[in-house]
Amino acid sequence: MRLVFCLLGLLCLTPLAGCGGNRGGDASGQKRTTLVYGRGGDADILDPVLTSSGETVKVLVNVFDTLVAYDDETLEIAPSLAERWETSDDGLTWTFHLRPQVTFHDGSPLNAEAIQFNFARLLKKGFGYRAHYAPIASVTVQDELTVVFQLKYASPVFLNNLAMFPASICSPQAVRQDEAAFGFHPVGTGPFKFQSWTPKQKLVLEANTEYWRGPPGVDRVIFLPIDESAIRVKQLERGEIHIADNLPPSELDVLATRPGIVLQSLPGMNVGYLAMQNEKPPLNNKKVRQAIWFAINKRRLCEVTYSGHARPAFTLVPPTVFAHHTGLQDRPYDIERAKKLLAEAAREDGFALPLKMQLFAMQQPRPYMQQPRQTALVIRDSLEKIGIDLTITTIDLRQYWQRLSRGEHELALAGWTSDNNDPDNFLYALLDPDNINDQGGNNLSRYNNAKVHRRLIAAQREIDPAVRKRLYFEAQEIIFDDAPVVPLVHTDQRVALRAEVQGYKIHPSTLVRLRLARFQKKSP
Amino acid sequence: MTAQKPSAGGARARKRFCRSAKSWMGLALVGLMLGAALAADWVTPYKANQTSTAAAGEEHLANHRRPSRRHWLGTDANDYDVLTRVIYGSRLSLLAGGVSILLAVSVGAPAGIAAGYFGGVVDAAIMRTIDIVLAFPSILIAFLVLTAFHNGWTPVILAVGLINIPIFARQVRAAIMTVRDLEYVQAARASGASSGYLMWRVLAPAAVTPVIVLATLGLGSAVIEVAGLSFLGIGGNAGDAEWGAMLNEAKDHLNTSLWPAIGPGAAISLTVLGFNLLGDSLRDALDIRLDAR
Repeated sequence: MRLVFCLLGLLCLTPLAGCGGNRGGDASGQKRTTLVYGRGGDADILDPVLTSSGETVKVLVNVFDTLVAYDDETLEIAPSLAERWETSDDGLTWTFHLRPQVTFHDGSPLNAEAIQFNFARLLKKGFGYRAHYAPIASVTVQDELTVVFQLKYASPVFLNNLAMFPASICSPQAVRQDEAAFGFHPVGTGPFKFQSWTPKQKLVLEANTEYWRGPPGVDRVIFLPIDESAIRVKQLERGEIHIADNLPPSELDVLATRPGIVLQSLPGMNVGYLAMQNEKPPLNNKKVRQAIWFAINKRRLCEVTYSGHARPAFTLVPPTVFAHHTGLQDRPYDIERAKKLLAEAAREDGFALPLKMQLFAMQQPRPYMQQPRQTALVIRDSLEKIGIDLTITTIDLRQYWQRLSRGEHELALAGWTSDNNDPDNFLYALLDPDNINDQGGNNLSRYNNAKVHRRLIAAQREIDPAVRKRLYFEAQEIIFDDAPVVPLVHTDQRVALRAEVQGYKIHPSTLVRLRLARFQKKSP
Repeated sequence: MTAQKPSAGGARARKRFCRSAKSWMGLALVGLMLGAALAADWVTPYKANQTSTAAAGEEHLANHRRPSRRHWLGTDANDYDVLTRVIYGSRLSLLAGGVSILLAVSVGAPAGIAAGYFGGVVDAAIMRTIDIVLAFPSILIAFLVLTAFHNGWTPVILAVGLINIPIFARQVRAAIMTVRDLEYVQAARASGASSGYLMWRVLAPAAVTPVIVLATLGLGSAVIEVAGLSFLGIGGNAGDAEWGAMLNEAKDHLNTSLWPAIGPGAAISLTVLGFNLLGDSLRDALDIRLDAR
């Protein structure tokens, strides 16, 4: 009798666990396997040169390849579409040898001309990332499978930048056919072919069985945007989705105890910080900014808000990234010193306490800011103690960065995940005067210090790692003293997945590469 | 002149009201919430935005503490004491609900009186405007109002007030229509009373009882509407101790802990139940008929 119940139970469970048909490829049935990836948001436009959205990048890295790419598990640069490459002694000429017999999903061949076409397009139309490719002077076709990059100046991060998603190699044929439509029907060389996308509902990728590294582990991938994290959790428990990302830290701790669910965790290459609009009084006074820094209880942030899955930050460069300044000592949580500094500033600038300020927070969680509202509350509680009354305004992500780049805020929650594992990607992108502009400039604090600028520019062209490191250390020391932002946390990158999903490992770069994911074969 | 005021028989109504268990339950619930709102500063164990840790000076930081002797309803994701915030939340919820109903009465009632008294074009103009407002789902109107303003509680009160205006205008108009042609009104008119006198002194008293009943019932729905809007995350200030906003924060952690949702949820239900019971028994006691809303 008990056996019958067991069988009945199994029968009932099978359709749940097998949503979408992930029943493994038994010899007889040849069922197609589908991996469902549940996430908090949707893509914006699937064109590598036109996007800067993290949710889009999750799709792009599966559809496209780059010339070089990160190794499957580490941040080492490995060959990809380029089999091998050579550099001239002065670091100005780079010759890439392409892998032969690679074709795009539309059947057109990958050749040197395609590379040239893509970089011309990136340099002309590149949206937020053009500056990363500024060193490129020319791209020339040497022969069918050889392409030569000539640089204006030697760049230590050139190769890393080639591994970044804006440098994805698109099919020139498809782009030429209808460039406007390309963002809704991308064609690359990657492990998955784009199949369909209904915005806000689902995005489907088909396995590219002819992929040059071999076919991917599943036949189909579906990206589902599921706004509510509580629903993502439930769907993961029921097996309706196989991977869920961007979940609240406390939820993940509970999920980890559930059978059939596995948690993966890595220190993220990211930083969550408090941007202060340095142009707006009284925030133009360094003492006010330092006072705010002293007043924020980062320990409470890490242990309560992030349930222990984040580490306090004192510089924007994460500890896992080159030239993270280990010699700096964070300002301790010290209300008395904060009050003293604020009082001094009030005397100097003649403003009265308590101050009233706005704090902008994003409505949707980000990997570096998994609990935006709770983080905002910690900051409000902290600053209340030193006489700064905050009003919290939560803003939808679609308008958020735009409004911040225009400098509308006084205080705002912000953050960054590195694309290329280099301090330049944090310090230059987030604090250099070159990146102050109303159209998506990432220097949200509008911090403008010539001494920092000089060092950051020099470091961009410095090949010697020791000298580069020194330049970045000096820049971080000046920034620490000026306190244009309050670095808050480096969060752990954590994802929950069903135990039957094998082979998928979150990558230190945070790129979601699903090629190796596969379903565990069920024992007969 | 005051021969047949419809509010006669107050003693009988009072007796009916006192005899019903419903009214006492309603009074008790509403009294409890009002008491909590007034006495929040004295009865709460913590401050609204004070974490458990800050209160106790503990070394171990945590969130989502389970209900215990120190935290009867546990703590939330920010380690705020849920009971404290529920008690403080009664202030914002009752105040916002109350003010918005006051607003609805002060606009709706005069409009209803004017429509009922003048009739004709004035009546048509007022009532058709109200029909138009009623044609939209009330939540949509609230969205419109809220998008026109920045965050804060004032727009929420305005929005909830606005969507309640038609209810009062219609009911008051109906009440005025029933007494408009009665003898005492005709007598007043024949004795040469001005329009203002007729409207405010002679006709308006006829609308007082339905307005009282409606306002009591309306308070219940206003509390829900305010909580609903802040639950959706529009209007209000992020981080304020308010029931709807608390529910919104709790929903992200439902799998981890239920208690941050139970407190505000129960508070909303009990308050609304209280107002509904009170309104119902007032209606029975005052023996008036209300049109279907």
